[in-house]
Amino acid sequence: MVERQHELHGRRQGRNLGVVSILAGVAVLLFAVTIIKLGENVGNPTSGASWGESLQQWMSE
Amino acid sequence: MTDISAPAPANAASEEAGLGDYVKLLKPRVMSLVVFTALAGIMAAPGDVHPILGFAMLLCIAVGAGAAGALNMWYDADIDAQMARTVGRPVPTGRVEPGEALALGIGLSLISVPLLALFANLLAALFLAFTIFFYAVVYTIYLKRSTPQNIVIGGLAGAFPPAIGWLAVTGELSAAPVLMVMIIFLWTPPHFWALALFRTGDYARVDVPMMPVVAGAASTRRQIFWYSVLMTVFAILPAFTVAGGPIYLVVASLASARFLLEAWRVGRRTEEMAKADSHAREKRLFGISIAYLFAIFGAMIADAVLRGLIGDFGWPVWL
Repeated sequence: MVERQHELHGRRQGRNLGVVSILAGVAVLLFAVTIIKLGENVGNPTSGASWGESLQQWMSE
Repeated sequence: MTDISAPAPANAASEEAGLGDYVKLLKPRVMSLVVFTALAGIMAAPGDVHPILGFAMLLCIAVGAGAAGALNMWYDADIDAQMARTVGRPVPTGRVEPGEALALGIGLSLISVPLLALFANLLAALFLAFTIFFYAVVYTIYLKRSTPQNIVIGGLAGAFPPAIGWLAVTGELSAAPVLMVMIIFLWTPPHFWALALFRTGDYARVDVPMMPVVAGAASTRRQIFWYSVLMTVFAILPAFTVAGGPIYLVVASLASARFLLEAWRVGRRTEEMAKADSHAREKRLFGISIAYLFAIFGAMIADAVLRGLIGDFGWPVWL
């Protein structure tokens, strides 16, 4: 069994938990923004535009 | 905003970095002002933005500002180690390796800029990229150690966040965001030189040509006053743009008068007077300058909320 020997372990654990929380938060935020950006078009991709046309449209916006 | 928080204890060098040390690399106190002014830009801009999208934009701007802070701490580690105000920062204390600060700064830049382009638009992202570049390269690497105009020109980097927020919502600039930029640009010299007046020894020791070191305290005091006069003019004008309103006009007028009074008092003092009370007036001006920005941009947010609640109330828009 590995015992906690030093305050260092607590510090590392705090750092690891912090990184996990940040990554999870970013994932949730990206998901939420995606849903908002898609808006009413979720599940209804009707444009049929090519990749290039989509990029041009995005740049012009 | 300049961070004058107390340095870490001396035994910090022997410790491994915790999450808080990496957060400190992002200059959270400076970031708080960036977030607040960018929020004012987002909220005052005409146009609707979903709250979650607005939060995401704000986060990108904050992370971009943090990236610039980390790059600044990476490059300035040598002089930070010799200045009382900065000796406790994570890199000089050895808790964070310089390479880690550099990697964090570059990494966060590469994340925040493209994400802002996706969340908002390309123009806002380009402005954010320019802001990071201007602060980390133009100010930190070139201006800071070469000219007493370092913080005058470099102040432009700190002035951009409200315009980035505005651009993120509208996609175009107008009088209001330009005036917001001008306010912070003209606010930076009085804010920073008030600090430099009571930290002159620090800057002289590390050969950073801050205005009091190069031109002397008397000249710096005069310049603090005249920059404050100019700032006051630009601080009133946004009241008569689409971002302004009655709350802004009242708060900006009162806060500017208070700021100007303190700048005048500092401007009239001699070094003997300042030393006699341990630079009490200069420290007060420094504190007032921080409160000032929060007050006027807070008033801008309050007017935006008021417009949201009761709609257009016929406020004159002349600019």
